[in-house]
Amino acid sequence: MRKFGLLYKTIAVLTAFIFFSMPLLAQQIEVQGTQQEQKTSTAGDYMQGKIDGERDGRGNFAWFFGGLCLGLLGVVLAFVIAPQPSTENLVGRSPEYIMGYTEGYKSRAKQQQGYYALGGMAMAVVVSIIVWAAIWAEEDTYHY
Amino acid sequence: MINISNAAGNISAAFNLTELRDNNLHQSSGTINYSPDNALTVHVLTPLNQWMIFKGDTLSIFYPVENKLIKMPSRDGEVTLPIFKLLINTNLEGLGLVKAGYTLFETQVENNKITAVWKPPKAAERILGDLIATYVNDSLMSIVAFDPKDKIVSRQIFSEYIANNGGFFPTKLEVAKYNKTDSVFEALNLEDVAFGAEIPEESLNPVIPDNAETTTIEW
Repeated sequence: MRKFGLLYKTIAVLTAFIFFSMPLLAQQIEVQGTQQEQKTSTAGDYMQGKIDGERDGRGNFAWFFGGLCLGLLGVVLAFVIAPQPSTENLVGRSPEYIMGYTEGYKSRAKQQQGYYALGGMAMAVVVSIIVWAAIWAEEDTYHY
Repeated sequence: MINISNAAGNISAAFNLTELRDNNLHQSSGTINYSPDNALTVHVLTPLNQWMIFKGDTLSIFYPVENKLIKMPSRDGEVTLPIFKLLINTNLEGLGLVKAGYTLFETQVENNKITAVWKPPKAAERILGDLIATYVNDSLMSIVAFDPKDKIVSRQIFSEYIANNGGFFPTKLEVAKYNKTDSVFEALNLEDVAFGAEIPEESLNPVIPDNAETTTIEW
């Protein structure tokens, strides 16, 4: 009888322990889950911002004329100076999203306007060659 | 001559900004406070707590919960929120069209509707197209921008006008931007608009703690 009494007591204590510790365990799991979710959403926000920024980043076509007039200097400046994004895209966005967005926007816009400037410089080179060739041909004709 | 009344003086309103792109809907709402002499301050309450302070040539974005501050100084001078600027300045000259070199090419009047065609500056004709503004009852209804090949690149529709200072002020602006790869739709709704009201200092210039984690984005 005593044996059974001890057994009952042990079972009762264990049951009570499990019963009372369940909510604490559940709460602990929930907190860990939320923290994990926040971390994931932070990293996700940065990536989403970068994707959106890269999509919106557009260089100014005016850099074509920069390359045309300034040559290599125009190309260098086009790859260095970034245009700024529209501020509407930042309203209600997290700091991580904004960091990703501006990063993506800058890199894409610089790249695009750099290509515009390269196109301008290439055109300047081609025009110069044509002009010089024409002058040279004319001088040659005059010589004969 | 089109007589458009622009909002002068302080403006306070509740706002709702919606953006739709690639089937992703992003909505934010809060309050907006504008003082012509001081600053434009946007306090976003949903989906997160965010302050955007447009002052001089710097945009400061502050997150009170995270105690984070992002500073974005502008190289191009004054910083602004373009969609809001469009609402408060429906006069096209005021939007900087004339300053940008646009010229009024043609005006057609039909009953109470006026259509104005603006031409881009000669130097920019390769990258910019015409701009057509439509007014009904002297209120700006829409602006449609074209590229040099006469393809629509953006459309802005103004609506829900309220009386102010002898004129009308639009409280809703819908913007559609058409790109090669995607299109973006934005809508700004203002509610409870108060003109000329005294704006509390803390609403225009919220206190940013000195210990806020600050990041400056350079261009």
